[in-house]
Amino acid sequence: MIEFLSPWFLALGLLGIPVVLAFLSRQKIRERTVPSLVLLRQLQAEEITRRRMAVPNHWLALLLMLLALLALVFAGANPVRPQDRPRSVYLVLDLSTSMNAELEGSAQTRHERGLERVEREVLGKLDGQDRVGLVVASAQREVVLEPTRDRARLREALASTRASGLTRSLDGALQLAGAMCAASERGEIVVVSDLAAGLTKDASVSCPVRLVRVGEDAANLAMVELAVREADTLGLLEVYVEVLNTGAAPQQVSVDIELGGQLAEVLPLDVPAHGQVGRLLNFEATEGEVVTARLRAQEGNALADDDVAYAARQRAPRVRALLVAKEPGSFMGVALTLHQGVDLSLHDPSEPAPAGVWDVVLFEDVPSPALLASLPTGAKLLSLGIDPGVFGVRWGPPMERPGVSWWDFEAPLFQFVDLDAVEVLTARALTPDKTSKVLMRAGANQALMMQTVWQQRELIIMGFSPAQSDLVLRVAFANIVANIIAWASPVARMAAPLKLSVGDVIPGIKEGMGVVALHQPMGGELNPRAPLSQPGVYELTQAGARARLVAVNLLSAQEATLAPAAPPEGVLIMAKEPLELTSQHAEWWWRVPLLLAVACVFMETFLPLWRRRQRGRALRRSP
Amino acid sequence: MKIRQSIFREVAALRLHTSQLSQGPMQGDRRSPRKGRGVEFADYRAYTPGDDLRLVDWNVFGRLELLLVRLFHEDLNMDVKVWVDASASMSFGEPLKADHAAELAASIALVGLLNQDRVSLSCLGGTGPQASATGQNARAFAQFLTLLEQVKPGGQLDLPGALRVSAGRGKKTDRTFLISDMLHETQEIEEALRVLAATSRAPVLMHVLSPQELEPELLEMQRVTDAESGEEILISGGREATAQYARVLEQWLELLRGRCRRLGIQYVPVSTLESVPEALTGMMRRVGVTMSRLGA
Repeated sequence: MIEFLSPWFLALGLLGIPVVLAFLSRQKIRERTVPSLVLLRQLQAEEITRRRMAVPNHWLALLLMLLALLALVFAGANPVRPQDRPRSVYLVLDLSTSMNAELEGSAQTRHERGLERVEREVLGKLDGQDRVGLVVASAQREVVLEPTRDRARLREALASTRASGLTRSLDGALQLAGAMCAASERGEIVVVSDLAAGLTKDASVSCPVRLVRVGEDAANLAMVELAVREADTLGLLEVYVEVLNTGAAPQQVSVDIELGGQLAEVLPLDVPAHGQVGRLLNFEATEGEVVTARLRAQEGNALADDDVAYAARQRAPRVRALLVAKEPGSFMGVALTLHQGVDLSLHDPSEPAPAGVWDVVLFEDVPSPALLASLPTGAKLLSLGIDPGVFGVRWGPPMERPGVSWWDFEAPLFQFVDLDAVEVLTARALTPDKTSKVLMRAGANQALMMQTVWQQRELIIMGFSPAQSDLVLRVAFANIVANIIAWASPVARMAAPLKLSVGDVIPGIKEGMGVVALHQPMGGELNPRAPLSQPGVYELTQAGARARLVAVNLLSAQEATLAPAAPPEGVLIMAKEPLELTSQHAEWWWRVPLLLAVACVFMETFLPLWRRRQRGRALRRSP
Repeated sequence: MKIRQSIFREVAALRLHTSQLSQGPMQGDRRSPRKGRGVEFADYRAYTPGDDLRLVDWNVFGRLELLLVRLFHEDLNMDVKVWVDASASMSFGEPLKADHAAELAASIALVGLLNQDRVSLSCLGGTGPQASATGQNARAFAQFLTLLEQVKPGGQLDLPGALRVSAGRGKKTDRTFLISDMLHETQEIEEALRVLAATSRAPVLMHVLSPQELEPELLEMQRVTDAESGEEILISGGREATAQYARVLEQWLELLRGRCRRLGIQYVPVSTLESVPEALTGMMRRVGVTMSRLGA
C-alpha cells in the first residue's frame, strides 16, 4: 500500500488527456531507406498538415509519454510507504537542576550533552517531513512546542531551555507526551534525562519510548536545609543549616552565612561520606532580611546550583505606642520604655491625640472626649484599670483582693504567663456583652479582663490597674508586656514568609500584585505569575506595599543525589537501539519515478534522433 | 554478393547468340567476316608472292595454269563483356538485386566460357579485392565466381563515367551486357546508354528490378532516404501516391525502353522474383540473346 503526502498533485494526471489527444492527432512518419529517390521524388509531400488524422499505431511512443507523465505525477505526489510516513517525535526534556551537573572530565553539563545528543541522534535521523514536539519537565510539565517541521523553531526552543528546579513532573511530562503521541501516526517519544529522580512509564503511554540518558553517578555536596527564626525580640537570630554529601569520601566544607549581602558567619563542617550534617547557629543580627547560606567545597561537588540557599527573615518593626497618663514613671511606662521594639510617647489624657500613626494606645488615666474623638483608626487600645464607661462598658463595684481564678491559656496575650496566685488589691468586675471575649476571671464569673471592639478598634480592658497587684513584680508582667507589643505589632498582621521550590509559581496572585527579587542588589520587577526559576528571596507587593516574603530554594536531597535510577521496563535505550533513519526510504521512493520519467522522455525523444544520426554516418562512410 | 551454384546446371546448355558476325580475338566456332584459314571454302584470289604455297589450288593450276590461292571463312569466338552494377542501390529488394545480378553475370560468363568465347566481367562500384576478370574457357570461371562473391555492393555510382573507364579505347565487343537497376537521373541514363551502345555491336541492358520497386508500400507517410546519396524526402503516401508511383514507374520504364530502342540496345527487364535460368531461357532467348547450344 502506497500513500501520498501531496495527493493533490495526482490531479495533474489529467494532463494525460491532452497528451493522448496530441498523440492521436500526431502523424506517424515511417523511416525507410530506398535504393534511389529517382522515382519517389515525384511523390514528395507538399504539406503534411493536410494529411488526414492518422490512426495512432505508434502506441509505444504514446505509452512511453503516458508512462513518463504518470511517473512525474507519482513523484510529485510524494509517495510514501506506510513505514515511510512522517514521524512525530516528542522530546521530553528533563530540566531539573541535576541536569546542570558537570560531566566528569568535561566542561559540558548534562543538559548541554543532552541537547548535543538530541541534535545528533534524533534530529540527525529525521527528514524534513518528520515533526518534532518539545515537552519540558521541571517543577511543572509544559508543552513548549507542538509537533512541527520547523527545525529552526525547535532548535531555538531547545537553546532557550535552562535546567533548574526539582524533578517533580518527569513522569507527568512523559504521560503528557504519551497522550499527544497516541493521537499521532508513527509517534515516538524520546526522553532526555539523567534519571536522577527516576522515571516511571505509565501503562497509558503506548508509543515507543527511547531514553537519551546523560551523565553518570557523581559526588555532590548540597545545602539541604536552611531555617531562620528570631530567638528573641532583641535581634538574636537562630540559623539552622544542613549539608548533604553524596560522595564516597567525607568532605570538609565551609558554609558562609550572609545577612543582607554581608558576610555574618563562616561555618566549617565535616560532612561524612553518604551522609549529612546540620548545625544551629545563634548570632546577633539586627539588620538584614535575606539570609544566604553558601556552601564552599574544594572537591566532590558536581552540581553548583544546590550550593546556595536563601531564607527570608521577617523582622518585627518597632511598635509605636502612646501611653495616656498624667504622670510618667508607672510600671507600664517603664516596661515599655525598656522594650527594644517600642517607640513610646507619653500623652496627657486631657489633650487631643497627637498627629501620627500609633499601633497601640494604652490608657492609665481616663481620656478626655477630645482625645477619644481624635484617636487614630487602626490603633489597638488597652485600658489599664480606668473606668471603661468611656468605651461603653460597664463595671461593677470595687472588689477587695479578688483572686484570679481563670485566664485564657490559649490567648497569645498570656503566652509564657503564669497568673497563679497573683494578688490584686482592688478590682472591678467588668460586664461583657455578646461580642466581648473574657480573658481573665475572678471568682465564679467575674470578668477581670476582656477583649472587645470599640469603634472598629480592638480593645482590651483590664478591671484593675497592674500597679494595684503584685503582677508587676513577677516575670509574667514582662511577658505580658512583650505579648501586648507582639499583639499590637503590625507584623502580626503579615503572613509568615512563604517557602517555595525553584520552578514553583506563587499561589494566590491577584491583580495589582508584583514581585521583586530582594537577593539581588538591582532586583527588578518580575512577572508574578511566572515560575520562579532562580533561588532567592522575593517580596510580594500589593499596591506598592509589602504583602509577603517568599523564599525560593532547591534544598532537595533527592535532586542533589546524582546517581541515575534504572530505566523502567519498556523503555528503549537510545545508545543501544537508535532511531531509524527513515529519510533513506523516502529518497529511494523519490528517485525511482523520476528516473523512470527521464528514461521514458529520453527514449521517446533522443533515441530516434540518435538512430537517424547513426544512419546518416553509415551512409557517409560508405564509398 | 551471393551466388547459388545450382543454377549453372540449367544454363550450361545455352549459348550466347548474336545476329552479327563475331569478331573475337581467337579462333572459334562462330562465323566471322574475316577470311583466312578455315574449313569452309570462301573464294579464290590471285597468288601474290609471299602467300603460303599450301593454299595454292594446284588442281586449278594444272588445268588452267593459273596460280590461285584458296580462301576460307575464318571462325572466331565471340568477344563478350559483362558489366554488373554494384552500387548501394543494388543491395535492396527481396531477394537482393545485387545477388540476382551476380547470378545473371556468372551465368552469362559461364555460357560464354563454355562456348570458348572471350568473356570480360567488370563490377561497377562496390568494394572488393578486384573489379574485373577475363577468360576464354571454363577454367577461368572460378576467378569470375571469386570476383563476384567478393564484391560488396555500396556507395554512389557515376554510371556513365564507370562505363567509360571500363570500356577503354578498345574495339567494339560482340556482346556487352549491362546488368543494372538503372536508378539514376535521366541525364545519367542517357549518357550510360550511349556509352553502352558505343562499346558493343550488340549491347544488352538487363534491367534488374525488385518487386519492392515495382510495387512499393506507399500507403503511409514516410521519410525515405536515398541509400547512395543520403538525401531524405518526405512522401505523403496513400492510395493516390501508390497509383501515382505506378504511373511514374511506367513512364520511366517506357523512357528506358525507348532510349534502348533508339540506340540499338536490347532491353531485357528482369525481376528478382524470376530465377536466372528462367531469365536466360525465357525472355533472353525470345529476344535472341541466348539460344540452345544444339541450335534449337
